[in-house]
Amino acid sequence: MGAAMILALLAGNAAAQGVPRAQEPIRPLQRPATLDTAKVALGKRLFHDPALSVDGTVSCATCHPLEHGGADGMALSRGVGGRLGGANSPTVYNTSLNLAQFWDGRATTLAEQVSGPLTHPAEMAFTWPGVLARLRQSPHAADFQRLYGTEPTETALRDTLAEFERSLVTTDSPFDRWLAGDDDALTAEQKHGYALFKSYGCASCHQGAAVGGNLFQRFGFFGNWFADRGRVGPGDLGRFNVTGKASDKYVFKVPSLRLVTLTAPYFHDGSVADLREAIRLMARYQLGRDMAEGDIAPIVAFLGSLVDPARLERAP
Amino acid sequence: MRRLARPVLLMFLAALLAGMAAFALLGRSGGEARRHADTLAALDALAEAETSLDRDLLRVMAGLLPHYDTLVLHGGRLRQLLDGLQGGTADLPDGALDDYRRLVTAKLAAAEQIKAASSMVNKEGAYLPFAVERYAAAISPARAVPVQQALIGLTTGTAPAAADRLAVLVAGFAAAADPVLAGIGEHMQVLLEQRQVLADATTGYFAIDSRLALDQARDRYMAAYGARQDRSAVLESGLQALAVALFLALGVAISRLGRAQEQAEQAHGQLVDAVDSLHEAFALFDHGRRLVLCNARYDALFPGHGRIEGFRPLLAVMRPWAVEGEAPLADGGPQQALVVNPVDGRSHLFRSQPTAGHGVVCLFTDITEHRLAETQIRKLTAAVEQSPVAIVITDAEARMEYVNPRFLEMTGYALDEVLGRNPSLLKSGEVVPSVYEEMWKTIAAGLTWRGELVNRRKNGELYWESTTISPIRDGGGRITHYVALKEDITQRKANEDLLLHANTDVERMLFAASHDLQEPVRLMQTYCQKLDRQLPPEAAAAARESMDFIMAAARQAGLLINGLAAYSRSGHPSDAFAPVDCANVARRAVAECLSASPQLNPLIRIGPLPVVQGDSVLLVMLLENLIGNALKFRHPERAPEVTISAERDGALWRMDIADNGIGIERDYLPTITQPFSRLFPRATHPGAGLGLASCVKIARAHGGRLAVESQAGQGTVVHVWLPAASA
Repeated sequence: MGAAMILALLAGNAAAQGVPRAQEPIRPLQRPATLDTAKVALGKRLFHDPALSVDGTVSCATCHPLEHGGADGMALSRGVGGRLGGANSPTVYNTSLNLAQFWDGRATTLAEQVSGPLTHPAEMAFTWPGVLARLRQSPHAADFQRLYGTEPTETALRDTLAEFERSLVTTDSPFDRWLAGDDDALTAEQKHGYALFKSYGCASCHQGAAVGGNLFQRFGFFGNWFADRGRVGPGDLGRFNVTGKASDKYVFKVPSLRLVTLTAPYFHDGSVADLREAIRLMARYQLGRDMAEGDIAPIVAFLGSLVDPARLERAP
Repeated sequence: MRRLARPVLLMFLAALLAGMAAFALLGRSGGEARRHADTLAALDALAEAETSLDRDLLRVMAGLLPHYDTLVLHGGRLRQLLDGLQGGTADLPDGALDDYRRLVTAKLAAAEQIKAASSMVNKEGAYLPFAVERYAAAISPARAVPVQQALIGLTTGTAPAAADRLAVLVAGFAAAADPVLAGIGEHMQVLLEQRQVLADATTGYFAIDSRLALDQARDRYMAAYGARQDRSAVLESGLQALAVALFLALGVAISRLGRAQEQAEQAHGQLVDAVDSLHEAFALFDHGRRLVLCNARYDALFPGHGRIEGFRPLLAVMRPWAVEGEAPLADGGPQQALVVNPVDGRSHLFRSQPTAGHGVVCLFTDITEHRLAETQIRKLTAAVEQSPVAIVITDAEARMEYVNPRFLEMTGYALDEVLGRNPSLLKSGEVVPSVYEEMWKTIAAGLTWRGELVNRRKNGELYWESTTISPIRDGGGRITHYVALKEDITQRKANEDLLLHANTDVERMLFAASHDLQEPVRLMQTYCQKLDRQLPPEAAAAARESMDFIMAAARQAGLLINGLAAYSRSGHPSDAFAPVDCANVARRAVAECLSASPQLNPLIRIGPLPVVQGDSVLLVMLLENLIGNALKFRHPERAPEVTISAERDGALWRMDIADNGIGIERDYLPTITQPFSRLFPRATHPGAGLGLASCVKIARAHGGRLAVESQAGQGTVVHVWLPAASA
C-alpha cells in the first residue's frame, strides 16, 4: 500500500510538472463539490424531453445540443413551429459560473432561468400549469416522487434542471492542465496567443474560470458598433431592458469564452459567424485597437485550448 | 352516561391538546434555539460576505485581483443568505431586512459598475503608457510632452480643477488630425470617463451604509426574539397550568363518570328486570341488526334453535311460521304478523318497530289462549245461533241487545224490529201482572226466574213459552245484562192437558176400583174369620192350612187395594196448596205410625221444621210413609231411631228423614223409588211396594223431589225437597 501511495504521488507530480499558475486572470474550472447525481440524471432526461414544449417538438437540447458545445450554431434559434427567437443561444456549459443568466442577465439563478425558454412564445411556448400537468402523466412523475416526495412541481422542475446544468462544467481542458502546472499542455502558439490575449487587454473582461461571464460590460467603447451594424432593435439595448437605467444601454453580460471555438456564430445577435472576425470586432470596439492579422491566429489557437471537445457531455 | 361521556371526552381531548401544546412549545423552543443560532449565523455570514465583497472590490481596483469570480461568488452568497433569511425559515420581524436588502441590491449594482469600470480603467491604464511611448518615439520630444503630461495626469490622478483642463486637453488629442494621436486621445477619453464612473461608483458603493442597516435588522431581530422568548415562557407556564387544571377536571369528571356508570349499570339491571318481567317475549336489535337485549321468554320461543342473535336470522326462522295470507316479514318499517310455532303449536302476535336509534324492537305476544278462547266463543256463538231454544240477551234496562234466529222464528219479528226494544213487546195481556212483578223481583235480586208465560207473536197468535231469566253480573257484582231462554211449549201444553185428563181418568178409575174392591176383600176376610171359628178343632190340618192361605191372600189383597187407593190420591192434591207447618205434619204422622205399631218403642226426634207451601194431607201421608218405612226396616239388634230435620236449599226446603235401620244395598238404590218395588219378602216386611213411589209422586206434585241415600247396615236418609211457603 505504501508503494501505491508513493506511485500516486509521483504520478501527481509528473502530471503537474511544476507549480500551479495561481496569479493568472483565468482560473481552472472545477466540478461543483456537491451534486445530487440522481437529480442531475433526472434533469438530463428532462433537458432532452420535448414534452416540455407546448407541442412536444422542442426540448432544451434542441437549441443546446450538448455534444455541439451546448449551443445550436444558429444566429437565432428556432422554437416551436419554427418560430425565430430574439437572441443567439448561448452555451449551457459552465453557466453556473455566470453572474446571471441570459445576455441581459435578467435571471439571477439557473433555477430562475428555466421559465424563460419554457414560456417564451418563440421557444417552448408552454405554461407552467400545462407542463406540470403533462409531467404528472409522464414517466418522470415517479422520479419526482422519489427525489422530491411530490408530484412534479414548478420548484422541483426548476431545481432538477438547475442541478443538471450545474453539472455541465468543461473541466480538464489543455489550458486548465497548463494552469495546473503542465507546461506541455499548450502549444507555443497557444501560449503566445494567451500572452496576446492578456496584453491586448481581452483578459480585463474575459477572466475568471469561465473566461468571462462574471461581469456586465458595454458593447462599444471605441466607436458605435450598433450604428455601424445598423437596424438597432430592442434586443440591442441589453441590460437596459432589465434595469431601465440609461447607463445600462448596450450593456451585456460578458460571455464566457470557454467554448467559444465551438459556439459560432457570435455576439448576442449571432451576427458574426467567424471567430476571427469576432476577435477583430472586439479589438476594434472594446479595446480601441486594430488587431494585427498575425495576432489573431495565435489567439484563436489559445481559445481552442480552453475546452476539450472530446470531454463534452453526450445526449442520453 | 352518554350525557357525561361527551364532556369527559372533550375534557380529555382538551387536556391532551394542552399537554401536546406544552410539549410542542418545549420542542419549538428547542427548534427555536436552533433557528436562532442559524439566524445569527446567517446574519454574521451576511456581514462576512459583504466584507469579502468590499475587500475583493478593493483588490480589483488596486489591480491585485485579476478576475471577478470571487466577486460573483460573494454577490451570489449575499443574495442566497438574504433569500434564506426572508424565505420563512428565520423568525425575522416583517420588513426587518427590507432596508438592508435594498442597500445590498444598490451595493451589488454599484459593484457591477465598479467591475465594469475597473476593467476598462485597468486595461487603458496598462495600454496607454505603451501607446504613448510608441507615439513619442515616432515624433519630436516637444510635441510628445503634452501627451506624456496628460498621461502622467491621468495615471496619477489630479485635482478637480486640473481634471477639467485634462479633459479639454484629451478632447484636443482626440480631435487631432493625426490618427495615432486621435486614437490616444480616444483611449484617454475613455479612461477619463471610466475613471469618473469608477470614482462615482466607488463613492456611491462605500457611501451605502449597509452594515448599519444589517445591525439594525439584527437588533430588531434580537428584540423580537427576546419578546418571543418572554411570550413563550408565559405561554408555557400558562399551558402547564391549563394542563394541570384540565387533568384535575378530568379526574373529577372520571370519578363522576364512574358514578354515572354505576347508575347506568343499575338502570340497565332494572331494564333487564323489567324486560324479563314482561309477559311478552322481547328482543331489541341495534342498527347493525345484532341482538342487544332480550328476555327469557324470547329464548323460550325457539326451542332447539339456541339464542337467535340477529334480526335477519330471526326473520328467516319465522318466515315459514307465518300464517297464510299475511304480508311477508321484512326488515323494514313497523309490522305485525301472526306466527305459529309448528313445534309447540303456540301462536304469537309478532310486532316489530324501528327505534329512534335505527334499531328494531320486537315483541311476541302469546295469544294461544286468546285464540282458543276465540274458538270457544265461536263455538258458543254457533251453539247459541243454532240453538233450538230462543235466546234473548238484554241490557240492565231490559233493552234487547241480542236475539238468536230461533227467537225471531218463534216470535215472527225481524231482527231490527226487536233490537233495542223491551221484551214486553211480546206481552199478550193474558198473564196476570203479579207474575211479572214476581219475575222482576226475582231477577232484580240476582236470582233466576223460571216460569211459563202466554205471549203474542207478531201475527197476533198466542203461544206458551217456558222462560228462564238469569241476570249476568260483571266483575264488580253489578247486573249488566239479563239472558232469557225461551221455549215454545204451546204444543207441550196441549199434550200435557191431554195427559192430565187421561191421568185423571186413570186415577179416578183406580180410586173407584180400589174403593169398590175393598168391600169384597173385607167380606172375604170377615167370612174367612167366621169360617175359621166354625171349623172344629179336630178338623183336618189340611183344611186349616188352606184356610190360612185364603186369609193371607185376602189380607194381601186388602193391603194392595189400600195402597192403590193411597197412590191414586197422592198425585192428587186434596185442596189448593197453602202454607203448611211441617212440625204439625210430622207430629200427626208420628202419632199415626205409633198407633199402627204400639209394640215398638222407637226414639223419634223432630227438629225445627219449616212452613212449606203444600197440601197437608199429602204431606202427612208422605211423612207417615217414610217414618213407617224407617220403623219397618229397623235393625234387628238396635232400638229404632228416626230423626226429622230440615235445611234451606235455595227456594226450597230440604227435609231429611234419617234412621238407623238396615239400610239399602247400593245396587238397589236406583230402583227403590219405582212402584211395586220390593226388597224383602212379604212375610217379614208386609207392604204393597207402593210406599216410596207414592212419596216421590207427592214430592213431585209439590214441585219438589225425593232422593234416597243409604249405607247397608248403617241406616238410610231420605231427602225430600219442598217449596218454601210464599211469605
